[in-house]
Amino acid sequence: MRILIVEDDKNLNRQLLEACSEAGYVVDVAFDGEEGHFLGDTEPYDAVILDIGLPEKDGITVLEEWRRDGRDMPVLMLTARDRWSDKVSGIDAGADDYVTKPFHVEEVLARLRALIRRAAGLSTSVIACGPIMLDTRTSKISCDGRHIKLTSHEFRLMSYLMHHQDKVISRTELTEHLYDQDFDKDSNTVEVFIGRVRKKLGVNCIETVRGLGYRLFASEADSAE
Amino acid sequence: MTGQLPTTSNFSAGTLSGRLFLILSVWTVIAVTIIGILIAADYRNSAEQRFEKILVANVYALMGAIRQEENGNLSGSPDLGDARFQQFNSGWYWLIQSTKKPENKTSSRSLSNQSLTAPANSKFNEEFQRHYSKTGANGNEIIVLEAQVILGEGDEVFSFKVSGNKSEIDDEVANFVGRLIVILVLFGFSLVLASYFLVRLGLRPLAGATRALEDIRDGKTERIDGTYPNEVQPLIDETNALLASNKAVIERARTQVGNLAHSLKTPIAVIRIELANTKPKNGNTVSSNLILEQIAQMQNQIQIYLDRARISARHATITSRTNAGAAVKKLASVIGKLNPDLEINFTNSPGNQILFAGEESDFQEIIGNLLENASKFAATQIQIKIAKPGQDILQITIEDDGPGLSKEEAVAVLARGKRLDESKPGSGLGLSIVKDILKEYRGEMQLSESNLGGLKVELKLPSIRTE
Repeated sequence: MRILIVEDDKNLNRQLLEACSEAGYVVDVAFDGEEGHFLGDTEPYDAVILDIGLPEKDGITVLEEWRRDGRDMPVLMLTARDRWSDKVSGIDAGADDYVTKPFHVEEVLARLRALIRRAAGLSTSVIACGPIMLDTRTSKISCDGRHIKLTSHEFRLMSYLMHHQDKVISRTELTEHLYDQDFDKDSNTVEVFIGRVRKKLGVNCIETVRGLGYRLFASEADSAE
Repeated sequence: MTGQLPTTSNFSAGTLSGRLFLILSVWTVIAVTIIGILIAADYRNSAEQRFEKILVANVYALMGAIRQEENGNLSGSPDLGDARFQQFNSGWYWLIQSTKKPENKTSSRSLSNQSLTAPANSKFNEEFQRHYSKTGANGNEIIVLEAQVILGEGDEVFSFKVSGNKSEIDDEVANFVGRLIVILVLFGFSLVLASYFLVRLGLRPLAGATRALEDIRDGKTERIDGTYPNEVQPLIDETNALLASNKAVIERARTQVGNLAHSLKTPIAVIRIELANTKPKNGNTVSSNLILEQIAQMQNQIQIYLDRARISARHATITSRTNAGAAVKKLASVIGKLNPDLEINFTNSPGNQILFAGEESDFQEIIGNLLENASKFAATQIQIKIAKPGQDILQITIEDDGPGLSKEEAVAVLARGKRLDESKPGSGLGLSIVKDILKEYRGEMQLSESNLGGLKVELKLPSIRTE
């Protein structure tokens, strides 16, 4: 899962970056509206945390421009203004949820999880795919009730596939959502991660669709080899 | 009188109308009195002159009609053509008498045995004439004109006396003055009446301006419209300019206060997150707890003063109106977007649009907070109804199918910052902010049990009368 944080306060930006990274997201950051708008316009994010009061271009304008250009990733709005008139204008501009400052990081993370889940059409915080369960609140994956220990890259891969189960995901798309913008995307490490995850899960649930990519599907637990 | 004109109490001495009316009335009384005195004096004057001329004319008529015979006796029968000289004691007499031989005399029939003798101190003028007054037979004052002439060839001087009844002049003048007073009182009264209407009509534009200002206070309009007389228009223009500048000043002050308060929120967020992330080492938990407490207090203060600034700003912004139906619809759609799993039903009242007598942001604050609360607790649905039960009242009902509140909980929940369910996110300020704004607008809020099973919030808010 790859997210973008647009916040002009350097400290708050860093704190959000740390918290989100710890929660298992790949994070890009921007410190002003122009930069934030550019990144959101060119990179595929699973969610955006967007401050309203930004230099260069305010958050509302950035959001309006994204929506006008068809960028429909979920956006969590951060605002110091807690009056309903401000909230209404943010939601009108295309925000999916808001958190008012000052906030607890946990609240931001909870809203973010909910937004990503909702965008994938899922309604509970525990996502299941056959015997595999992903608890988005604890960032833990289990198979048949057995906890699976994954590295952060492996977890991101599984999390993305779980959010998009039964869909064919290309290797490029996976790369884009697993690494931040500075990563060399030509690498073929995705294949390596898929192999390791298959091994750790011990069930056949990730199918390689030749020439297209990978697909996560609900397998029978007892069909394990 | 129509109800649109100022009432009579507006004519008290403290009002402009009252002062103008008082001045005009007092002046009318003074002017009419002076005119009356002058006319009466002039009339008396000319009546007396006329009386004098009659006496003089009669004296000359007597002189023409009387001759002295050779024997010295007087002859001729003068007829002065006035019946009063024939009536006894009428006060109108004539007497011709020799100064040498008083028995040589002739007189009018009216003069029976009365004396026309001049008082000792009365003097002749250079034409040998003199006037004097005497008391007549009926106690009336009579005026006597005496002229001394020599008749015929001799040197015998004859005294010609003609008298007239002065009380007749007095009666005539008194009659005239009586009629004059009636005429002048009627005239004065008509002037007072005219000035009353003059003042009313003249000051009518001011009454119109007063009504316009009342409308502004009632929130029916934002400025004084319409054309006024040239004397009043500058006042109207200045008032409009003042209203506009007032609004701008309030807007600026609000923006500044808001900017200041909101700019503090980011550093507070940073400090709080940083402290939460710092692992307590060697017993420094106490100081981080202290800092967290202080931060919470700062945050609370910011919120309180932001609310206060907003509320005090509202006192001057008296002209707002908000389309309640449209605002609720908008907020319902926002809440729907934030809570895609909830079913939100909004029933607008049929007919005319319902206007809230206040600012849209305040209305949004009330409804937004209540809807947000409902959305936190609702299981599957929220119902919103809007109605207009009275001329200047609107009613909004928000119901949910959540767990609801007991009566005790409903009372407790209205206390500032009180949160019954700590498991739901939020500052807890929402409902008390709603309460504060309601108080400002003299609105009412009732909490009860909904038919849906959850909480039912009933709001009564001021509305604008739709004509």
